[in-house]
Amino acid sequence: MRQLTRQLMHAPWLRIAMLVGFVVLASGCGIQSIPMAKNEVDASLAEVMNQYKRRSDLIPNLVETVKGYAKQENSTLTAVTEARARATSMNIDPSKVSPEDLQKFSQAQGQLSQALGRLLMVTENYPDLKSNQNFRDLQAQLEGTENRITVARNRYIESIKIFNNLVTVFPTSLTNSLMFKHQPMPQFGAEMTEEEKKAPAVKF
Amino acid sequence: MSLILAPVLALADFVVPRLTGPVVDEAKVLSSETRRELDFTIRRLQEAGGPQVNVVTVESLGGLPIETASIRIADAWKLGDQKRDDSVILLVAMADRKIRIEVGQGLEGILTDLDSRRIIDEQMIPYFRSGQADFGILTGAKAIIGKVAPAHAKGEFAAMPVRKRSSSKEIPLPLLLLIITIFIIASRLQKRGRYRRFRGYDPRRSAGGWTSGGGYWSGGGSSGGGGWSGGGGGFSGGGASGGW
Repeated sequence: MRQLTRQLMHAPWLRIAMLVGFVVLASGCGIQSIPMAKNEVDASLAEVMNQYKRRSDLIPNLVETVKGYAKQENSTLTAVTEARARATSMNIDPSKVSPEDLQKFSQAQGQLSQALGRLLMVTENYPDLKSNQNFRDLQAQLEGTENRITVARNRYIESIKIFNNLVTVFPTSLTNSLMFKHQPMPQFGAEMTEEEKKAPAVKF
Repeated sequence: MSLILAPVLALADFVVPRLTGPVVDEAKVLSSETRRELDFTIRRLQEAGGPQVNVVTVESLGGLPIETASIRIADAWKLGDQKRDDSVILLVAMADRKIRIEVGQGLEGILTDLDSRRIIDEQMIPYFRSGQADFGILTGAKAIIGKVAPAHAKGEFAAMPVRKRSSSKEIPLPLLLLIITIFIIASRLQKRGRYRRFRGYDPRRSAGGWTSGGGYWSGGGSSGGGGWSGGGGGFSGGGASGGW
């Protein structure tokens, strides 16, 4: 009697297990590709943060240089320094960041971008500053860093897209619902306004 | 609907050129002389263990910022070694009047954004402004090569002087006189030794040593003919851009 119930209980499970096993073997099942895509997302987020950090590292120097020529632009300079402080105060671990924290981080960096954009606009009024070699060098570095940020952000967005496709589209979605139970990730940058998305115009 | 279509249309406008060799001259601004010189130098650089440098000219960017176009080329070609990520792309867009140096991740320390900016501003743009795009590209590419050449071969590539070209096609007078003198002497000598020389002439042997200058790479039709392809190197957007 006990043996019979066991058989009854096991038989459908066995069949399902075989079916799952078949699906897993027959198609690009996602057992490998889902964790790999997840790692890719984490790595590209780390790169985004890395590039933002690189930008923050350039700012004190830039502020000092501008100060030497344009003391009266105090409020613009303070705004940059404060925005930088806010942006760098957020410590984020790329592998386990919550969407809310990420949004805050992105907003803080967006505000810093805006403050920087205003500062660079103001410098247009100071020909001496603009011809200063140190300032020009900093501008070239800043421009390069802004471009790196753009590239890193685009790659992050792309990696999220790949991850979400794996998690939501059959057959890998099946593997995900059985094994990993990942939720699709919110797309990065969607919360930003058009103005924030624009990198500050670092142009001569 | 237009929101969805807009990026697609923008994508369609700029097509990444085919990687046919170290010099991809889509805009046809380079003289065959420059093209051959760059092709030779760049291949030589890689043989010496140096990074993979590529010169690309395009007519139009199809409305894209040059940074976007250049990272797209970089991602498509994957130049440089996969582990070292060592490559540089010099992109020139003629109609957009834009220049960009895209630096592979592994070279960002050697060829900094600042170096790239200076090469563009100081070594290239002056030539472009005076309509010498060909020479501007040659100078810029050589500056890049000199910068990224491996330490042991630094001398070989850094010492390579850029030939000054006089803008006029006229031959300077002393040179002209020299050529005439040589010609006169040569023709006299030839008169004397004509018969002997004629008998010694073997058309088959001489034909073997004769190569047409155009046949080296400029055909461009045979892709990968010289074994030029990317090795999986990565870019992260380093470099600088400029315009003239």
